[in-house]
Amino acid sequence: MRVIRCITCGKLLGDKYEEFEQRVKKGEEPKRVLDELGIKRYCCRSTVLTSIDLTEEIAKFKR
Amino acid sequence: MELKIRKLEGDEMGFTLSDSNPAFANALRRAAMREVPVMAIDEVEFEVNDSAMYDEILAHRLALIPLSTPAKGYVLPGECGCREGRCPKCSVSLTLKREGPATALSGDLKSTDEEVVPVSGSIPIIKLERGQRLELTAIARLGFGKEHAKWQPGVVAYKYMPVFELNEKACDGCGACVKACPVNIIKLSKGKPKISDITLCTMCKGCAEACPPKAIRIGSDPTKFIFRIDSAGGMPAEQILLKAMGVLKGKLDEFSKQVKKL
Repeated sequence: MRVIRCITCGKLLGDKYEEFEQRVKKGEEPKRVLDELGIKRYCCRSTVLTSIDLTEEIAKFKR
Repeated sequence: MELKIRKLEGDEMGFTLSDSNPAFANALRRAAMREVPVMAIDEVEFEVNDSAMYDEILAHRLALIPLSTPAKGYVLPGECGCREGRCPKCSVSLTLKREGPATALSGDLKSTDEEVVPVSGSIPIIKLERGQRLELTAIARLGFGKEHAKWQPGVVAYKYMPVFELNEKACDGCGACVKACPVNIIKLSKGKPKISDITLCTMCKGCAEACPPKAIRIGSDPTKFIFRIDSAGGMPAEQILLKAMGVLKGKLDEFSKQVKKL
């Protein structure tokens, strides 16, 4: 799963991934979506831009 | 010492502190980030966890969920008479029950106190596949940011007030500084550069370097500070500031008491 808070500054990001992902998939520019979600600092922006959700991959295997 | 609020919008706050010094500015920042207690999940008991993640990882994710913290009403576990940190005076219990296929969200956490709830209900905790179950009880307590980042009420940052010095005689009004400024705060008025909002200056010195006659000097004023408080959501930004001031005052009172004893 994606991180809940920004790795560097601790800003809450967990509730913003879904909207970000959907809007970017629809063709919106990532920069605009980040701005509108109120993600200002570059630590938070890079965290949102670069994280990948691997839960479904992990779920195939036994814990 | 003077404090002037520039901006106050929900979780964000900006103010300028003038007639002060770096030591005080830093003391205020540290008091706000390290010593203002907020609520965070501190202990989790798992009844069932069939999910893809280990209990510890889930507990860690739960702990990072910011919880709204009422200004009064709770005591620190160390100061509570119960000693176990489990009584309603010093702790809140949150329960979660979810069965897949679904995503367990922060909104599924049922709190015993409606004032202590996740600040957002749509934070995913874990995705559950068909047949996977998750049942847990989490205990949230007050704590300090100096102990763990989950208890930090927010981010507090400051910088010196930038100073834009112009040698009026040397300036030929070429406008190279206007183009060089990355935050666009320099405008030409009557052939001389004028600053619209100096608090936005990042002190990159781009204007000083771009100026052909070297008429610009960028400096900083170590008695003035531009502060920004960005709350994690659990506590309004202005309350973080007020509480931090209370903490600082308490420490100074204690210090003067100890000095008088000498």
